Amino acid sequence: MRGLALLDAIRAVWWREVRRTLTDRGQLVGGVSRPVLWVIVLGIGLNPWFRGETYGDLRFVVPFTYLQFIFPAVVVLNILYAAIQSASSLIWDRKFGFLRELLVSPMPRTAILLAKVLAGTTIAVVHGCLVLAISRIAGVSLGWDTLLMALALMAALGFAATCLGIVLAISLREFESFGVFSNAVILPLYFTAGSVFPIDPSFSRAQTLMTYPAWLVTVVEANPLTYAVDTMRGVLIGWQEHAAWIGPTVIGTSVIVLFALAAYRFSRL
Amino acid sequence: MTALALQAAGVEHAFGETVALRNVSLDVPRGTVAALLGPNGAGKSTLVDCFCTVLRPDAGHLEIGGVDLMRRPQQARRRIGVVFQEPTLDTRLSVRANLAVHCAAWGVPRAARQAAIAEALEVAGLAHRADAPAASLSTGMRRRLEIARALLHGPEVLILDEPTTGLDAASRLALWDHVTGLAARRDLTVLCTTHYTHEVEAADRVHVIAEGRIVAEGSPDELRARFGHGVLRLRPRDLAARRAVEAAHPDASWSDGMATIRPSPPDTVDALFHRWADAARDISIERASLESAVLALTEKGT
Ligand SMILES: Nc1ncnc2c1ncn2[C@@H]1O[C@H](COP(=O)(O)OP(=O)(O)OP(=O)(O)O)[C@@H](O)[C@H]1O
Ligand SMILES: [Mg+2]
Repeated sequence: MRGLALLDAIRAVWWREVRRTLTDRGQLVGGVSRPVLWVIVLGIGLNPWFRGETYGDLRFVVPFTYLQFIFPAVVVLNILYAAIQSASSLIWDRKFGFLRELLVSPMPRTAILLAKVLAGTTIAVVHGCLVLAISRIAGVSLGWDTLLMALALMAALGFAATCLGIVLAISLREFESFGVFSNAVILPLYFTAGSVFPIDPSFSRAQTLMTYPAWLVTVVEANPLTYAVDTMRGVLIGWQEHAAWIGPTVIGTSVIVLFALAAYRFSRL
Repeated sequence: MTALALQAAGVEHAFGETVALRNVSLDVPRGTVAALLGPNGAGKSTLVDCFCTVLRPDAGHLEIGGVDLMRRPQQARRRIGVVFQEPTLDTRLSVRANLAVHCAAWGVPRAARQAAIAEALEVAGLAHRADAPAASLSTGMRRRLEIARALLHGPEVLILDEPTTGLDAASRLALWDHVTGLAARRDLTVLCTTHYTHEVEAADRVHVIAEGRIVAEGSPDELRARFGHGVLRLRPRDLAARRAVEAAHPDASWSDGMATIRPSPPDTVDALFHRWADAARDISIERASLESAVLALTEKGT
């Protein structure tokens, strides 16, 4: 199988996956309720406490409201959830579902994987857009150029996260449900990604370590998602903690490494 | 072109400690319907998975229409249509959408798709439900849809893994009629697994599998004749008759003055009936059944 027939096969499998997920009300409810809770309830609730905090002689200098600060992180959170949830259907699909059928088709394994990952990416971008839809409430204004950059970044993140989800789904086959993923993978990754509080770059390292325990600083700095959230902030609110080149480099590397890893695991399924 | 559509030689497979297939060899001639009959856990699905390249056997050789499965799996896959034991329909999509995705994944040329899907709907008897979600179909309809889907890309061989589970007795027989009819009309070769003995009467050849080994094969009649137990039950008319029966059949079992005799070979049961008819107050026979043959084969184990 090659050429146009192969593209058509990938398109069909991608579209099937997208259609069945987007018609699943349960997943949409999550996609809508997460941004509402995180942005509106948590964001508005913590907003008054965010600025002008003083610790000894240190003072935070983030020039934004907490709502604006957390908004890009919630976009990333929704993408993570949607992508990993989409990937986790692999566990079930391999044993009983459509994937079992596909594995006996003449489609090459990598093509099946690509269709699945692109579907996860599409769904993730849709869920990211659900958050963007409430940008006004968060006080974030989006121009066309911002929107285009955000879409590209969301797609790259969704792609990498779906690959990660697939690697996990294949490796941890005894974990039957998405709930395990959400508690053991998504939330820990999210909370240690500088998403809900900044580790301020205007501090020297010594100052940072005075404010936060060393283990937390290390974990946050080692978490690749930190740089994704940071880049999303750069795009959406024009402020970021780290140098602008770091995020795209980390994300690009993750896309390549995670897809290669997923392809390797998938080929031996 | 070889005369064999499916061929397995010396296939072995183990899942860790569990040996699922032991030196399994099996030939299915082109255009015939073969049944793979065995109890739960016999290794039927494992063999099916080997034939459809989902599983790579630890040892042995597999061919489909002369194509080596290990060497050219892609080419072999085009030649088979598979219906798995677990249903794999996408219940959230419509009947037609399920068929359309299969066409694309198997590379059925675009120009031929409409016709192929229409024919599949016809074959499944589901033309009037084409746009209903697959979730709304009954179990029997879903099975027919899965079979029609497996035939969309025009395979030479159809492999069905326990297609009749979950169906009532009448639907089971109807499904077998459906399959044997398809096989005849389309010149298909069929390999179908089941654990219901009476179903395999429709097959040309039956391969009995137990504990990962093929323990017998032949036409249903051959199996019945070779391995079935005919049973003769008689109540002798008087003491002299009883003595005579005891002398002739020392291994008969008695209870309440009634003898149960299992002659060997089983087809002598009719002759025995005539021999003892006059000496008995009550006499009855049970001819060798496929059921008894298979029970004898699979219970013996290894
Ligand atoms: N994925 C697996 N991992 C471990 N053991 C397995 C696996 N699949 C099958 N087995 C074992 O291999 C043996 C054969 O199983 P198989 O599924 O082929 O039987 P079967 O004849 O299809 O049975 P059934 O009628 O119940 O479908 C069984 O002992 C089973 O426990
Ligand atoms: Mg089975």
